[in-house]
Order: sequence, then structure tokens, then C-alpha cells
Amino acid sequence: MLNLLKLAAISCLVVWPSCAGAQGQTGEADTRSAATAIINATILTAASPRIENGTILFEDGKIVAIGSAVDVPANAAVIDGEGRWVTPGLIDPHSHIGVFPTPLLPTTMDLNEKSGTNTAQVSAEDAIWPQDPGFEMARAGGVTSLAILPGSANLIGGRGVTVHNIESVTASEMLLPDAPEFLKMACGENPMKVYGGAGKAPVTRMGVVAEFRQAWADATQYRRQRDEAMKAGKPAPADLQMETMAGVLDGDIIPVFHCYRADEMEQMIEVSHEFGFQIGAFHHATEAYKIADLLRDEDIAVATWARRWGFKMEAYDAVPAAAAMLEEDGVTVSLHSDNALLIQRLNIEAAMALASAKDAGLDYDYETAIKWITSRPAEMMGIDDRTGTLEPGKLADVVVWSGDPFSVYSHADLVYIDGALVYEREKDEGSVESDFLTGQTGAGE
Amino acid sequence: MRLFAILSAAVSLCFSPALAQTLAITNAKVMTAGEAGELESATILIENGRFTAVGADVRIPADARMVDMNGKVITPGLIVSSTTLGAVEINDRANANDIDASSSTLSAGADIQYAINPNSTLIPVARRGGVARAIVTPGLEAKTGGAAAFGGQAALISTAANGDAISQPQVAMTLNLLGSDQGRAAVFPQLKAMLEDASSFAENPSPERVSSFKAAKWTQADLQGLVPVMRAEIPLYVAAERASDIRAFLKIAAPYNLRIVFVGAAEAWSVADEIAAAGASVVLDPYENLPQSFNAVLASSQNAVRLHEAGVPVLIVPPRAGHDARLIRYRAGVAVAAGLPKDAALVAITSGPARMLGLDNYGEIAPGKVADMAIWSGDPFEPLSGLDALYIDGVLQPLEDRQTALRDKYRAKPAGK
Repeated sequence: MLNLLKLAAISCLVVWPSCAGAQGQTGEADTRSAATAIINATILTAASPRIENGTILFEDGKIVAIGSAVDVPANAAVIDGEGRWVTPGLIDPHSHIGVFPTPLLPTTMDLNEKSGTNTAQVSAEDAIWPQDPGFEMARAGGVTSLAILPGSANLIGGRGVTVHNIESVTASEMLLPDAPEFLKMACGENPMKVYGGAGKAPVTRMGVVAEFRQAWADATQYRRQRDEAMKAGKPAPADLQMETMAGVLDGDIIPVFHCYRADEMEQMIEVSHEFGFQIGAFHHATEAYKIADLLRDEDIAVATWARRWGFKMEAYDAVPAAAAMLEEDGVTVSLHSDNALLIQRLNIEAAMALASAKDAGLDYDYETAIKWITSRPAEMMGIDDRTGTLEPGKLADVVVWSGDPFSVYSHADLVYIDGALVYEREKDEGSVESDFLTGQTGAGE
Repeated sequence: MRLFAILSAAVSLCFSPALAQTLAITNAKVMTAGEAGELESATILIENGRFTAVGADVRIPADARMVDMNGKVITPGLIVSSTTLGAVEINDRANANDIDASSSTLSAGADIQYAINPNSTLIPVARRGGVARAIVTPGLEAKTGGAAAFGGQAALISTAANGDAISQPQVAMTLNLLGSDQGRAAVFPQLKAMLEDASSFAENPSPERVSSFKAAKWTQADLQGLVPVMRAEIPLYVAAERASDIRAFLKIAAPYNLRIVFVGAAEAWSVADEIAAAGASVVLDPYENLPQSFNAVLASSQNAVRLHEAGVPVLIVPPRAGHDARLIRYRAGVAVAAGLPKDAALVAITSGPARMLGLDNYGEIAPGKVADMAIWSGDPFEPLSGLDALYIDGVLQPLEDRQTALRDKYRAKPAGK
């Protein structure tokens, strides 16, 4: 459910229709396994050097032990990982599966609430279509958690949420409990195209920055009035849009910016200073390597690609070594997909980024590359306390790979979420779970 | 790096007029993409831009320049079967996208050779991915408005530095099956009539006959452009996804001897036998496994594998944007992971495209073929393998691009700047 509700519980109980909604178990796979041990595997934990001939033991949805000498209880299901590799479940900090689904039709296109440049009041949560086959394909690629964000047509597009990639009929079931929400914002060409192209503001980057300033000025004023009203025991204002933005100013919602150019990122940082909020991450950020020191000093993370570039002017200066260069300069960097095909092979994206590191003379190893698709996205999504690494006490979000996870030939053999087996390659490959594909002649054959 | 230095020294002569000197590459694992298959510890001789010998027992001329590969892997230079490379700098709103001539009065008469910019920054980026040649296909996504229309003539380009880029123009014709906004019930009869016109014109292509053909608003260039298609001298690329569209096109094309190449073709596997029977080929991206629309409900990771098993020549491509041309080798690897034999995956990105065009002097390491070859640090389909060197027409190519220049520029900056 909305984390925003917790902060807003006092001020706007009456405003939020879903305030009274059930706060039941969400984001948890239905059937948690009894004790499971994967033995004899090469384990990349994303938190320590690799473990050869290692064992990982999990029970009741949590990792119990991991190492080269783990006592496996007699009642545990034991899986021989001989020749196989184990990594944390992969995490994508920028996805639109479910809101920009396949099939993509005018009637399934829920990406952008293009009714105004500021639609902070909307949430991707309310549009996620769990039947999007993209979810199960991403699961087969080892993706266990993903941030579902609104698109970049609007300056302030709305809230995004983190889901556990489990099969579900409703989106609520998929939400990772108590995961922070995001406020998705966008600089540059997309808002200029959508609004400027229709003769509305913003037409230029001047307009983009001016609109951002105005929106944050409005939010600042709203927040002051709200707090004063509450102090005075008066009714709080009822403005969902402003309440979301106040959530950012309160530090409860993570602001993330779709932003490509270095100069634009710097401008957004200036705006954040003026209004006193901390930017969580720049996404896409193809020029982040030009301002790595600034991003490190500002403690702003970057989620980017290994190879995408040039599809528009603001993405023209992307370089394949970007992730490695940001890593070198101490920026919290991850890879992301933004795409339902790319998300299926985040391990290959990481391998490409690692190869480009080597090209640039930066000698990173598997231990770093695995972080780009596990622990780093977990950190920037505020869920690193429970997932993203293989450590005792963390959720048993685990992938068993058929071989080296950075080889193009390797497959995710087994995928566990919360300790429950949610994908088994031998059994599931070619089978169809999505309702959309069920009963379609020839599908899944 | 060291290898590159050695190679640079070894073949610097290739940039000079002294091309006649033989280059001998020894001790290489050669994936020939031809009948010879894979050769261990092989020697390759190159003279005048052509391979002159390949094999384990090659006699090396006394005056040859020798380069020891120490067991590195050599493949033919890669060939992308369908791309916008060279005709697009930036897709979106940069006045730098010339791939479609769809608003013009020409359809089949449009000719992409005039849109190729050899100075495009995309070309060195593709080169760095081991791509030596590419088939630039106009009009495959063109929206042609009311009437069905051909997309225009494709060109085979080279990624060689300091070249004019065009290896051969007019190598194929394109057609976006659903480019018009009409329903299928109108599109196919219209295309049928257009093929009848084109066939009839091809029998006697004299300019004065143009005005007698009425199935489309033909210009002379349009009908002329279709003559080699109807004579089966060049292939016709047909962009289609749905199985029923592939079937319908095969039906209207059946009276003619066309060399059909389906592009995209998400559902092709489900009609693989019919495609094989028609002698058609398929250009596909192995990543495309999601039902993007109701035309691609049967999209499958197994598309390449099943087509190959049915005997259909499969050509593997990365996403169509020229920016992504360098991704081709990983796409081949993904097809192998799905079950395509490795030799078939290599053919699909080298000799396969050349044979599909009927230009089989390209894409293969064999005596007499054009000396395009890529030298890899390991398995070329693996992302962790690197490209060590690329030869095009027997000439060692530079591997720097705008992206390495930007990288090095910013890495050279002192901290805090």
C-alpha cells in the first residue's frame, strides 16, 4: 500500500480513498519453502568476494546461512549447484512493465498521464497490469524486484512503486511491503516534445526549469500551510498532488529524475538545493560521467545503460564505459532497463559494462559487476535492508544460473522470491502463465 | 593493445599503395562461416584485399608480412542484414534521420545510397563491434498513408574508414506490408495488382509504357526499381509479423519468381514450413520474444531455432537503429543460448546475409573472398570477449570512435573539474 499514507495519515485521512485499504501481506510469494540448501555452487553475494563450492541455506523466506562451510539441516531440500552459479535476484530500478505493457495498445497504454506537466497525484501502482507477459519473461531472466515508474512525458509524472516479481492477479499483491515510493520527474526533450509540441509550456529548457521552480515553490507553500493548519487543529488542505510533493520535501518519497545531459542534471541539483530536498537518483543520465565528482559529493545515485545511445540528441554523448567511470569516481551506480526486452538480460548488460570497463583500463571484476544489477539498485530504491545481497537475514531472493552469469549462454535455472521457487527453467520454459496468452492458438508452443 | 600495435606496424603498408605484399596471419582459430567450418591453428593469406589461402597447411611466401595470432579467434567481418546505419545520425527530432523517403512521390524508386553519410559517427561505433558491412534498408517502418507502397532500394555499405561507404547500391527492395492505414482486405489486393504491373513492366521496361500501369501512382523510377525484383536479381524485404500476413504475402507472390526476405517476422516460426517451401529467408532479432501487439501474439525466443530446423535461412539482426549495429554479436549469442547451432548463428551474421543478397564474395574466410575479418580475444558471441582488430578489404581499421574520444577526454580531466 501507499507509504505516503503513513506520513499523510494525520493530515489527510479523509482525502485518500484507499487509506482504509487492507494492509495485509503483500509482495510475498504465496508458498514459502521449507529449508532449501543450494550446495557446491559458485556464489556471488554482491557483498563479499565470491564463494567457490559454496552453500546457501534459506528458510521461511529468509537467508539463514551462506559460505563454504554451512551445516545443512537434515530436513532441507538440497539442490546440487555443481557447475552452477548463485547470485542475488536481479533488481531493475527503472521499469515500465505493467504500465507500458505488451501488447501495447491505446487501451493498455498507462505510462503517461499527459493531462498536465505536473501529475504528482497519480501513481503507477494504480495502473500496473499484472497480466503483462513482460513480468514472467523478466522472472525467467532472474529479475526478482523492480521499480515500476510512470513515463517521462510530464515534468512531474507521478509516483512509482517497487514490486516483487511474483505471479499475481492484482498489483497490490506484488508490492514490496514498506518499500519507499518514488516521485518520477523528467527533464529535457520529452516534456518539451509532448507539451511544447502542442504549443503549451514548456517549449524550451527555460520553461522546464521555470515550471519545476514554480511547482516546488507551490509545494513548499502547501507544506507550510498544511503544517500550520495541523498545529492549529484546523482541517488540512486536500490536495493529492501537493501532498505527494510535500512527501518529497519531508524526505519520505525518493525523487528520481529522467535526465540525460550533465548541464540539466546540475540545474536539477540547484533546484533541489533551493527547495531543500535530496535527489535520490538520475536515471538514464547518459552524461553523468561528465559530472561524476558532483554526483558523488551530492550523494546522488545514477541508473544508466551499458550500450543505449543516440536515439535522441540528449543521448548523443553516451559512452559504454559510463558505469565503470562512475564506479571509479565513487558514485553509486547501477544499470537499468527501461525496456521489457532488455530487462530479461540484465546479466548481459552487466557483462557489457564490465567489458567496457576493461577497454577503458579499469580493472573491475565480477564482484563489482554483479552489484550493478543487485545491491546498487537496491540501495537507490531504499530496499537494501532486505534484498540485493546474499547475506543472512535478507530475503531469499536468489537466482541459480546454469553457469557463469556473465556468459551469454547461461540461463537462470531457478529463481526464488522470498524463498519460494517462482521459476524453474526445466519446467517453465515455453509454458504460458499470463492470462493474455492463455488459450491463444499456438502461444507457448 | 599490444596486438593492435603489432598489427598496426605489420600492415601499415596496407594503407600505402604497396597493397600487393602478402599478409600472412598465422596460428589463429578461424571460424570461416563457410564450408571449411572451424579451423584450429590456421594460416590466412591476404593479398590485394582478398583472401588467397586459408588452412592448416598453407605455404607462406618468403616476402610475406607475418602476424602471429597466438590462438586468437578470427571470424569474417560481421554483416548486419537490415539497419539504418549511415542514413540516420539521431532518430528523433534532430533533422538527422533520412531513412524513409515516405513523403516523396517515389516508392520503389527511392534509393538509399544517396542518404548514406560516410562521416556518420555511428559508423566507427559499428566498426568497433566487428561490423564490416551493413545492408541499409529504407522504408521498412514507413507509414505510407492511404496506399500501399514500396519502401525503396537498399544499399550494401562498408564501415571502412576513409571510404565512400557504398559497397554496392540497389541490392534489395523493401516493402512495409502494413505501412498504409488501410485494412488488410484492401492492402493485399492492391499489392497483388502492383506486382502484376511490375511483372508486366519488367517484361518490357520501356519508359513509354509507364503511364499504362494503374495499380499505383507509378513513376518511371518506381517501376524501373522493381525490374530486378521481378527478375529475381535482387531480394524483396517484406516487413511482417503476423503468421497470416506472411501466408497472405506468399500467396499473392506465388505467381512470380521472387526472392522474399521476411523482416521482423515474430510469428514466422509457426509457418516455417511454408516459408521454407517458398525458398524465403527471415531476418529476425532473437530478443523479440514478447507479444508487442495482436500481430505478434506468437512471438517466441525459439523463432530462430525453429526456422533453422525447418530449413529456412535465418539472418540475425540487432535492433534496427544503426546505433545498435554493434550489438549484433550478442544477439547471435542469445540465439545460440536458445538452441541455434553456433555455426548457424555465425552464418546468420556473416555469410548468410551475403548469400541472401547473392553477393557471396563477402562474409566468408575462403580463397577469393573479400578480406573482411574480425579478430577477437575469445568467443565472439560473449560480451566479455573484445574485438582486437578489424580488417575491411584487407585493410586494418582504426577502432577509435566518438565514444572512446569522449571517454578519454573526461577520464583525462583532473579530479574535481
